[in-house]
This record gives sequence, structure tokens and C-alpha cells, in this order.
Amino acid sequence: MLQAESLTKSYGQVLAAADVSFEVRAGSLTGVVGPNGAGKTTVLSMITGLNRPSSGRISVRDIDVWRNGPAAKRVIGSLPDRLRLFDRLTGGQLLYYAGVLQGLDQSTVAKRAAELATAFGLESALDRPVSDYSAGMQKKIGLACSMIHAPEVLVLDEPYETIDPVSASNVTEILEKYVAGGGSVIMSSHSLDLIQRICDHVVVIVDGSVVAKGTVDEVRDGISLEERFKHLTKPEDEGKGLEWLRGSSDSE
Amino acid sequence: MVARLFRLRVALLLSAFRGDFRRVARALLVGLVSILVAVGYAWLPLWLSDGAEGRMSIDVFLSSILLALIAVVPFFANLGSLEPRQFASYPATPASIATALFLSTLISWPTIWLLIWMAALVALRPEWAPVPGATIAAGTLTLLLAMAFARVSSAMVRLVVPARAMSVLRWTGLLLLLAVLPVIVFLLADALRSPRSKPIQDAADVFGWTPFGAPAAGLAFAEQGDVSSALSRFAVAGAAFVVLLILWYLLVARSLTSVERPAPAGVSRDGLEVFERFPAKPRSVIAARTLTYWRRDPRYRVALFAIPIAPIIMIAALWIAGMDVHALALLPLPVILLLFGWSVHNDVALDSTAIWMHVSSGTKGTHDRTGRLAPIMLIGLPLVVVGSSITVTVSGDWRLLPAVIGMNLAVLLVAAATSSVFSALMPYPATRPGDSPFAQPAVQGSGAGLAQTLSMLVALALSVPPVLVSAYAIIDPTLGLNLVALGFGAVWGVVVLGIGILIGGRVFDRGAPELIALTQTFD
Repeated sequence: MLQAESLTKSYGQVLAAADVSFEVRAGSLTGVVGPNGAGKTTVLSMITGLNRPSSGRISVRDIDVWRNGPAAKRVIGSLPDRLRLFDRLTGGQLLYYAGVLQGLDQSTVAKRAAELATAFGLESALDRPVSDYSAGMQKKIGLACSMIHAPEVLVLDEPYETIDPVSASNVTEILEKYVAGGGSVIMSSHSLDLIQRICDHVVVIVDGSVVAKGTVDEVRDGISLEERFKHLTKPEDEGKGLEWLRGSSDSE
Repeated sequence: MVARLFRLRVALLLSAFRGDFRRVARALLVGLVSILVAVGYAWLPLWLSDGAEGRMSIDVFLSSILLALIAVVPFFANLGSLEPRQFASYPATPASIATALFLSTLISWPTIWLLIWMAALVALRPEWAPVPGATIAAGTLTLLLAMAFARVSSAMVRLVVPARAMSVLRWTGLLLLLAVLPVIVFLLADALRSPRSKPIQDAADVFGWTPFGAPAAGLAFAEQGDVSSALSRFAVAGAAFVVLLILWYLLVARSLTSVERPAPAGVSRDGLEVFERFPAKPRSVIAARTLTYWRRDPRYRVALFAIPIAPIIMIAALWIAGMDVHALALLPLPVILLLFGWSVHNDVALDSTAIWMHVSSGTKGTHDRTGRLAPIMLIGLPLVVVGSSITVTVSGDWRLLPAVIGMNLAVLLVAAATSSVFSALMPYPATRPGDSPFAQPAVQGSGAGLAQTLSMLVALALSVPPVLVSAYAIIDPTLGLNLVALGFGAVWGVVVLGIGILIGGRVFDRGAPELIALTQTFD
């Protein structure tokens, strides 16, 4: 469904992504995990066409994202992290905007916007400007916008961040239904627990390189994903050198 | 049918005087003012002219304007309460409905106002007493034409324009009126200055051959004893009335057998405000979004405050330096339009990182560029028309109007074209969304000065050719040269804008990811 082949992104001397390759199968939920600053956002935004890779190739359903952008982008739904929304628009206007930009006709947008708002529990907030939304609600309206054109692949950067537990299980339900219907999801998250629970495949990125990939069971290899992750990121020296941080003040 | 409709009309008329005391008092006051206006309009030519000949031209001119308004106003602002479709369910033939509606128009406030005006004319023009036949003919034709014009144009607009577009139409009408008003005022003021005003005589001659001025022109010729000219004008008016009447019967038949095309099924765009007025196409939703931002985001408004100040200072300086006031009058509008079109040269930076939405949806660069220009065009184009009309009024020579419009149009479009290229090519840090509009951008430097200077220089350079052509026509104000200047300005502006949108769109398409990266560093 989605194939990333030796994606590399360098900012001068710094390698944000080095030779990243993986694939996402149709009907699978793939998690991308890695420590802070590992390059997850860089990789995901290269897939959605927001960040030009220095080299490498990404194709969705055999359409090259960087050669045939418009066609590929019709198939991809994206939720970037830490980019603004057009937040002076109301929730309803933003959904409509996203739908029309994706080439939907008026009546389809209206119908889907109403259903998405109901699914994400945003009906009562549609007439308010998005700038007045809480962080969690902004995330949810962003998710709704990424789905309005019925994409075949969803590329979600930290979709669960700032969402409350009840809404999170709601989002999980929506994603699982989407995957059951043949859609594919690739998402990043800090919560390994969550990835282990809902994803079937996982890609572990450390310092811009893929250190492990495969089904969740293959990667965790008998132990919990969190344990495995600790091994992979080699945190032996973590927590050392802070002997002075003991909870007892030494200024007296 | 006719009798019933007459009773309905009378009831509608009297309803103005029903209700509580304040309502009735207001209706009476409005009525009184209307009568005064009607009598005043009849008396105006006497005040403006000193002799019979001048008065006749002004008479023809003013009654042409009145009939033209009666024909045009119902099209833009449909105020009538009775229309054919309301009678579609009654067992009556279209012809009888058309006849009844037409005849019953006699009993309506506008018709009564018209009759008062005509009565005042007869009372104030003793010169017409020797030609009672012509007076009656002119009066009857004016009345019939007014009724037919009003009926036809209000039926036409209901048939052609869907109800949901009516408010747009009303605004268009208001703008056109605002644009025409200075010219009319100028012509009348000219008549006051020189009783034998040439422009008014020319206008009256032309209007005399149109249905609007033909009845009055016929009467004026009859008064001078030129029977054949009078008859020819009356014939024009009569023929126009017959055509309008036929049109009216056809329109009634058509509107009784057709229904308004319903809004596309299953669509509810309620609560989308500006978006409801634009079609669901990428270009137009970007336009709607930009307009919403101009309304809701104070950052855009603050940028506009400075625009009128520059020309004021400039003109004050030139005036003190002793420049001629008439020439000075030509300056402020193009300067305002240049600054206005140029004001969006950093539009992408104002969106900040939200621009990702255009990129991830694969929006075409040209659509992005065109949509963003919506506020500039929606405010700028009416400003060109109305402003140019005011400009020539102040400068005192209405022959300059085409050249002035051409120049101003070109300047606006050229500035917009430059902005289209530069906002994609050289964005520089702007105040972030949600920050105070007076706050400094979070990041300083990064080519702000260069982008501003360069875009302004390009806009100025591209404005030079149309301004030169117009200047030539303004110095030598012949009609031919003026039309050439208008045409050149319009074509130059449209071509440059098209090229600007294409280049800007290409830059946007190629560099969209870099644009996001850049706005991220500003954020």
C-alpha cells in the first residue's frame, strides 16, 4: 500500500532521517515509535508531501508522492503535529474547507462533515472558531479533516496527544473500523502501551534510522514493547550522573 | 380578476396607515417627504436653468433618469409585494393574471408618487398649456412606460436570479448607483454653473431617442412647435411600451409554468457564513477563507489603516508646493490602489504554518494565488469605479473618465499581480496568528526589507506603461484617446495579473514544502 524506500533527510550536517525504508500493508495499523527527536515527524511529513526528502522514494499505491503529488495526496489523509490550523474558521468551516480543497463536491462535504462531527463528538462546537477549541478538540477536528476525503492511507503524527481517555477510545474505535474496511494507518506515538494495544505493525526509529520493524509480536519478541524498546534505544547510561538529585536539599 | 386585484391593491395601500400611532405617524411623515421630493424634482429644472431652452434639456435629462431608475431599481432591489407566481394556483389564465397585475400597478405608492410629480410638472410649466394634446400624450406614455419597466424588470429578476443570490444583487446595484451618482451630480452642477450646459444638452439629445427620455423629448419638441420631431419621439416611446407589454405577457406565462431551480439536494451549508456565498471549488473556498480572515483577524485590518495616510501626506506636500488642484485630484486613487494591491505581498506568512493544508491537499498554486486575491478584487474593483468617478468630478472634466478608470484598474491589477508572485517567492516573518496586530513578528530580519522594496519597485515599474498612456489621454482629452487608454489599462492589467498568477502559482507548486519549512522558522 505504502512504501518508503531509503528515505534520507539531512539538514546540513545533521541527519534527521537516514536510509529509512519500510512498508505499510493495506488494512494494517502501523505504529512509528522512537525517543524524542528520533525523526518520527520528519519521516511522516516526508510521506505526506510536506517535507521534501534529500533522497529516497515514497509511493502510495504505486503513485510517487514526490513525482505525482496531487494524485498521491488524494489517497493520503494527513494530520501533522505542531502545525497550525486555519483557526479563525469555525469547526464547520474548517471541515468544509478541507473537504473542498480535496476536490469533494458540496453535498458530499456537507454530509461527511456532519457525520465526522458526530463521530468525534464535535457537533456542538462546529459554530465556534477553532482558535477557541482546547488542544484536544483541535486534535480531533484535525483528525476529522484528515478523513473527510475518504483516503486510503491515514498518516497521523501523534493523534492521541492531548486527547482525553474517553475520546481516545472513541478515536481508536474509529481507526479500527477504518482499518477493518480496508484502510491503512501509519501513526506515531509516545505511548508504547497504546501502540502495543492497537497496532499490528511497528517501526522503531532511533536517531533517524530504523532499528526494528515488523509485526508487533515479532518486534517485542516475547517481552512487552516497552521493555524491548528500552533495549533497542540502549539507555544504559540514562539516569546516571544525577546522584545529586536526591530529594534532600544540600544548600543548607 | 382585475377587480379583485384592485381591491387587494387598495387594501395593501391602506395597510400603511394601520397599526399603532407611531407606525402611522412614520408612514405619514414618509409620505409627506415623498410628496416634497416629487414636487422638488419637478421644480429642480426651473432652479437650474434661466431660459426655456436650457430648462427643456434638463427636463428631458431628469425624466430620463427617473424612468431609467424605475426600470433598473426593481431589478436590483425587488420590493414589490405582488408577483405572478403568487397567482399560479388560482384558476386564471396567464393572460388574465398579466393584465390584472399590470393594470393594478396603477394603485401602488410608486405610481402615485409618479402622478404627483407629473401633476407638479403641469402646474409649474405654464408653457405646456398651449399643447394640451402633447402634454397628455407625454404623461400617459411616461406612466405606461414606468409601469411596464417596473413590471418587466421585477418579473425578469425573479425568473433569472435565484432568491439566494438577491442580496449580492442588491449590493451590486448599490455600487453601480454610487458609481453613477458623481457623474449625475457633476452634470447638474455644470448646468448650474452655465445655464446652457453643453453636456446636459448632449445627454438630453441622446436620451431623447431612448424609451427613457422619448416622452419628455416629444413634449419638448411639441412646445417648440416641431410636430414631426415630437411625433417621432412619441412613436419611439409607444413602440417601446408595446415591446415591454409583450415581454411582460411572455414573462408571466413563463414564470407561471416554471419553478425556481431548487438548491442542490441534501445540502446544508448553514452556519458557514461567507462560504455559503461561494461555490464549492478550491479557488472559491480559498477566497471565502481569505475574506473570513480579513473580517475576523485584526492583523489584516491594521495593515489597511496606513493606506489612506500616504496619499494624504503626498497631496498635502504637493499642494503646498503649488501644484494645480485639478491635476492633484488624479493622484490619491492610484496611490491607494497601488498600496492596497501591494498590501498582500506577504499573505502566506500571515497564514503561518496553517498553509500545510493547501500543500497536503495538493491544491494548485494558481488556485491558491487567485483565491487569496478575493478581498483585493472585491474591495478594489468597486473602488476603481466609484473612486474614478469621484476623481473626475473633483478634477472637473468628465471626459477623462475612461482614461482615469483605465489607469486605476491597471495599477490595482498590476499591484495584485506583484503580490501574487512575491507572497510565494519571498515570504518574510509576520505577526503570528492570534498575536496582537501591533506586536512585532517573533523573528526579525530575514529579508523583510528586501522583499518589501523589491515588490514595490516591481509594482511601480509595471504600472509605468498604463499610467503613461493614460497621462497622454488626460493631457489631450479626446474621446478616442480616452477609450484607447481605458482599453490599454484593462488589457495590460489583466495580462500582467494573469502572468503574475501563473508565475506565483508555479513558484508555489515547486516550493510548497520549503514554504512550510520557512513559516515554521517564523513561528
